[in-house]
Amino acid sequence: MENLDKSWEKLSQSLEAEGHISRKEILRDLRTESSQPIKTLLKNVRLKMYFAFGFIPLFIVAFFVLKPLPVKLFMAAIALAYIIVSYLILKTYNSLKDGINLDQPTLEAIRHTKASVNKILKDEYIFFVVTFPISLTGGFLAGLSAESGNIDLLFEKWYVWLVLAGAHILFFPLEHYLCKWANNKQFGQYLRQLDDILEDAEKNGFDKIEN
Amino acid sequence: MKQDIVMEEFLRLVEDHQGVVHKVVNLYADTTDDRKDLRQEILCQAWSAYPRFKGESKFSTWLYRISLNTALTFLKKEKKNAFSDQIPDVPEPVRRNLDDVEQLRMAIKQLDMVDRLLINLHLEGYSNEEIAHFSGLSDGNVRVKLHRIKQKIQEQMKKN
Repeated sequence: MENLDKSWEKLSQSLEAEGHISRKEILRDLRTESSQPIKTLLKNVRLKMYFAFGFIPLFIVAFFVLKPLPVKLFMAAIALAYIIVSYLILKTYNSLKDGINLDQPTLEAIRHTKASVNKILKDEYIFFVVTFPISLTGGFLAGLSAESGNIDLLFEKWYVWLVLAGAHILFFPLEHYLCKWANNKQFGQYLRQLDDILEDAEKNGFDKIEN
Repeated sequence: MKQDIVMEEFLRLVEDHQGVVHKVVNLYADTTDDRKDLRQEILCQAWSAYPRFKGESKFSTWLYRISLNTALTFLKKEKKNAFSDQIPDVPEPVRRNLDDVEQLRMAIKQLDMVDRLLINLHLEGYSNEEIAHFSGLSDGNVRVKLHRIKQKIQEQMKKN
């Protein structure tokens, strides 16, 4: 055991000396942007927030300007959905914008990191689930009204509703899997890495890990 | 102005205790690029957490915690060029000639992330109680765990 301590002393000195950097290099490091995955995720969240906030006034204006009742109702529903989603995203963004506090006990830091990544991915999923059907419906109606010139007439035709419903039935599962796939592609490896460490910790007698 | 004073103070502390950062970086990252990325990330994290540093513990202990937590929550790159969980193959004649220090380094790098954290702190001279507080493990578990890790390291060193 004494040998171990002696070897560590030497190793420790060599490790410390291996990377010595000047004040200028420390300053340069401090100016680089954090590459913590949370920061990348938050960048995406910020973009979605701008997108959602940007569209809310448009839907409200459309609600007052457009005359057909179904369109008015549709615009009101969209605006409400966007307001709710924007609120959710804003809440998450505010709670995580300063990053994860890494000067807490290790296990807490890892748990907190994992929970935060999951929270953002969940919010992203909700965002897609809400905005995609709306965009699909909007695009569908815009296309048809441009074709026929009168949106009122469109709603009187039963097959318009049928095609619209069919499009949702077809595209919703696709959208769901695409969203899951994209999140897994980008952050799956990171979540598995955190899981491995937490599993390790649990296996090694740390307190029961709560996911 | 106040920010400049804080920055100056932080820079001085980091300059004095940068060995802590390099120790963690060299034990958790393998390639030059990874070491540079991890070092940058640790310094960024330390700077953003610095306003919360109230001096209740020594700066070196606080920096150690940030460094280890950052290393553990840092995104690994592709296996082929990132932190490797495996030690690269070392030819047998070279292995035989490795001194104790190199053997210890290799043995530590072969441990899993959590074990590496515990033995690091132990070899740095932290008490079991401090390690427990640091990691979130119970006191008793730290003792048992360290005993096993030391055995593992010694076996590994013998093998090397």
